Amino acid sequence: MKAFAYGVWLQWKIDFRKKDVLMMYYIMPLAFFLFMGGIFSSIDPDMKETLAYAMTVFAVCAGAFVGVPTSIIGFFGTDMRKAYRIGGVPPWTAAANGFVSACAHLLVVSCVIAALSPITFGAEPVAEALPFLGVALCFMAAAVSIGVFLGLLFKSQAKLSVVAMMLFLVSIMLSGIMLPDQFLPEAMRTIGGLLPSRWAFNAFSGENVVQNVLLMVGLFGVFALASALRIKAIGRTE
Amino acid sequence: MNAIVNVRNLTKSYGQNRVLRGVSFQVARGEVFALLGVNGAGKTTTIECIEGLRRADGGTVELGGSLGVQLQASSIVAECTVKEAVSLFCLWNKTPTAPTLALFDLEQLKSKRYGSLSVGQKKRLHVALALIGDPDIVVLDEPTAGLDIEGRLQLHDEIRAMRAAGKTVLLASHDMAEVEELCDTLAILRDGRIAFCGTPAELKSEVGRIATIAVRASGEALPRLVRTCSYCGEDGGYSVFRASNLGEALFEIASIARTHGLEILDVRTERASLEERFMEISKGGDAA
Repeated sequence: MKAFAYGVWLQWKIDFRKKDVLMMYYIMPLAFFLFMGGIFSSIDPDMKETLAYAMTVFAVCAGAFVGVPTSIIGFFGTDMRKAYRIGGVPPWTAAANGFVSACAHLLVVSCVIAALSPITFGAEPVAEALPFLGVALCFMAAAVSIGVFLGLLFKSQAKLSVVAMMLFLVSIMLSGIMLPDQFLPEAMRTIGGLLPSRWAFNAFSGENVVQNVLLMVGLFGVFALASALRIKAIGRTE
Repeated sequence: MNAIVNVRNLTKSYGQNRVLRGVSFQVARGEVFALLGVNGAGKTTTIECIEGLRRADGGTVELGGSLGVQLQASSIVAECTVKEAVSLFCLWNKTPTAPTLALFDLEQLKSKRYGSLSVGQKKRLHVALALIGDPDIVVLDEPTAGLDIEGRLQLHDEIRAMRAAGKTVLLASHDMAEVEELCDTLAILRDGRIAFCGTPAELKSEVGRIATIAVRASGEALPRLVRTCSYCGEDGGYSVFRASNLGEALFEIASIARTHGLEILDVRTERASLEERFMEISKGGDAA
């Protein structure tokens, strides 16, 4: 337990030393928040009611779908995993440490967005902090577990980048944070309904909270299991 | 023999490529054993099968003690400091950090990030990590590859210290000079099998008889007449021969010259080196 806890703490510290990680977890989401927050609020003042939620969904999608897979493939796609395995450090801890550390970073940036939204753009503050954090954590768990699985699945950084970027763009375009549902074609609305980003946004907005939270928790379970099986398969093929 | 590593009939294929075709050897307790071969001979695959990193298709590996390993392509997260890496590995192995940091002057490097270390410093770190938990058997896969002379000499001292401490060292290398200096026993891999297994002295005793002879003689008949050695071609006016027995070859050349009225203008001889003998065995010379 002590060794695992140290690994998580170490991963957290290392993330702050990596420019690309800081970019995807903090700089890009906060820059987007500061830039688009003003634009959204002036286009449609009603969007101020959900600005904090929309920007949180954006931040989590950016970090989980673009940031996480890159650091996972950087470990599992190289000889690093062999060095750790032969040195007595279980390779699965790299995925687990990455997961916990990513969720921690995304929680920090979500709290920053939630705190700044009313101050910077006069947006509605988060209705209730604890439910907000609870939904946010469930969404982070689901999204980051997908990111971890993607990082384990691909051997090529180039292919991973394409898939990750597509998933990120689809998630934010069809989640309702950029465009309200009614502006999307029927087919897009249907696809959007299958995405965790939509479930999170709806839950944040108070729609079918329990159902959406259960969907996210279920999705986390599926991808956590898939990741575990994938790590086992990687170890077996050596 | 008190064997601490016993490898029997190891086989391994990657698709159609049969890398190991029945590798067998034993490593005695407390010795430094070298596994040699050219690139692609199967050294790393053999080592990884011994370590358990790779599953062999057939054969067995028996280990009579705990294992510590330094891989050829070891790597750690670049942003991790030396102390953090050592702490992580020590925590998972339930050993204190301080003794490992004290090895190989790592204490001086503890705050440096892995990505900023030189090749030699990285190797020292990985060898130190291999010694965590005081293993009985230490496996080093090309530990001096990429090192300068100073780094190489330092690592050689460290290997000698390991042997003095009673450890068994299994060393994969393609550096014959290094092996000759450090090892008690060596095995040469060729085409997925052991082509030679013995001591450096045994390999050298074979080498002593082999020589290259360059002869400048009048006329051009000499190459056609010599039988005890193989003709390798002309080089700057000299006919070059390769002989497995220098004395016999020189006697024959002198006899032929006398019989056929040829004038020997110059003779140069050169003994085969250990590297040449290694290359000969590695690429299809005498088998063990």
